[in-house]
Amino acid sequence: MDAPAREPVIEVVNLRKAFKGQPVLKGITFTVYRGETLVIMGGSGCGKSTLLGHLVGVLRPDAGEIRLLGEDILRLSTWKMDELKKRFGILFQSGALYNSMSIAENVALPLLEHARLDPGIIELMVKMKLKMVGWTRPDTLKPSEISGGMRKRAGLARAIALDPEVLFYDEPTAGLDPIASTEISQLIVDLRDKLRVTSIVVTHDMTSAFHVADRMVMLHVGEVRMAGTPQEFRKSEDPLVRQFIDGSLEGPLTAHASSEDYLRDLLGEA
Amino acid sequence: MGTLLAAIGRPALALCQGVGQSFWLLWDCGLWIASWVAWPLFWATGLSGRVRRRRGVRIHATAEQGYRVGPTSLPISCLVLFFLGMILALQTAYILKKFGVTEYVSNLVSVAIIRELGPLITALVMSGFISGSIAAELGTMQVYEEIMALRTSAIHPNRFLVVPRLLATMIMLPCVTIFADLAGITGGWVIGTRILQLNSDLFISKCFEAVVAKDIYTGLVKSEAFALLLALIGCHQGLSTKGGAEGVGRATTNAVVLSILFVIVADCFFTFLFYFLFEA
Repeated sequence: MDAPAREPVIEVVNLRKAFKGQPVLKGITFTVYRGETLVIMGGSGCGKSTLLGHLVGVLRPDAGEIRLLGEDILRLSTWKMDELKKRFGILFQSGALYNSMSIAENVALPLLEHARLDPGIIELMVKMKLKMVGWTRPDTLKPSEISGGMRKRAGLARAIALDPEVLFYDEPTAGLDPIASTEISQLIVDLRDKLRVTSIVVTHDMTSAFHVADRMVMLHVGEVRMAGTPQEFRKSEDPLVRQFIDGSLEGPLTAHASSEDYLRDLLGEA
Repeated sequence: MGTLLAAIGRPALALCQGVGQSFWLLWDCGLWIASWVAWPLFWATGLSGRVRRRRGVRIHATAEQGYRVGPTSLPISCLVLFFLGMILALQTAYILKKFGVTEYVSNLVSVAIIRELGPLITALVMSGFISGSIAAELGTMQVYEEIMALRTSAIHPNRFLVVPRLLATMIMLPCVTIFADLAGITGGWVIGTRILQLNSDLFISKCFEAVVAKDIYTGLVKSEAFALLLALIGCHQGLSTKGGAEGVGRATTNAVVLSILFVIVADCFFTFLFYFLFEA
């Protein structure tokens, strides 16, 4: 991103969190600027889902600061937080559609709850949002009747229902076939261009990550290992980053215990 | 010794925690309902500009839940009470016959059913219909991140899901209880007139003679309390579900078992209360 004025939308400063004494986030700091797509990546258990939970206000950190759209979300009242929540949308890993409602009702729910609009207008807006994410099937279907890729599309339509300024994607391509995966990645890029939203994508799918990212952050055991543009990541000399991007078996991420450690482990003398 | 203490202490602690959380849930739902009820008051007194308007109770969802709870469980509850009325008539006739006062069967059946067995048995039958089904539904929503999705889109699950279920149950359970009471008395009447050869008109008049207004409303107060317990336990178990399909199963079982337990305990409590309040 080389936009002249870079307005920070999300600022995370020295975020720390431990679960039952086990540190998961060990002082994470990064900034996301308006209109860009930041990819947060890392292996399983690196703390990226925990980080996402903090950004959307579901989890509270032990220490650190999070500023979202200029508000310090750790010191907001419930009321103010509710107002803030209307300005961002989330695509959950499973889509998290409401199973008791049809797709149209799912997309309409945020509008019905938060905007005082005529039912006719809401219906129209639902059609628009579904069109925007490339929904082609009848919108009277229930979530259980559609495929994983379609469920993500519908979830995305619901996430953008209130025209959010920020979109969070939790593993948007997980569990999809390569084609559906590319379609969703392209959708993330399209939405950024059409709606000018700021996007945060948490993923470990490297193809998708390089497809959508303006900037990337790589987490490793609760710390930011590297932050930079996709080009910088491609050129990185850090063996850990290299291994993650290439997905190779040999490297620091899979550094196996020595045979002595292995023996000790087996015999329970550790 | 330590393990014994732990074996007693751990479930006791969990129980205390659950009771605390349920009270918190009830308090929050109460606030949602109160703010909805109070809004016209603020509006009328011109204070509306100074208070934040909170979202109201979802009437449509409440009606939907009410329909799910009431009419579907009505036949079963009535059938159970009908048989219970028959059993009760036969069992009491066994004793009363010895004293030659078989006609008192009608008094006994109507008082026992309206004061005690109607509300209690209906609540126990409904524990599956209400507590179990609410826990299963909310538990599944919790497991599929639906509750999280609601929360992050600034829709409070307590208002959106719990309040309609609570209200619907509290409206429907007493209604079902009234029908079940009638079915129970009908069961007694069938035995009384067909087997015990009592006069039908006499049976009916004695039934209503024996019951005073107090019996009816103490029965309904109990039923209202049971409704609150069933819905609250179901919602609490559902919302605190953890860990996939297995978790949903556990939550459902817990909801049914706990509601049966708490309904009986509450029944005992209310029986004591009414005994000392009215009889002493």
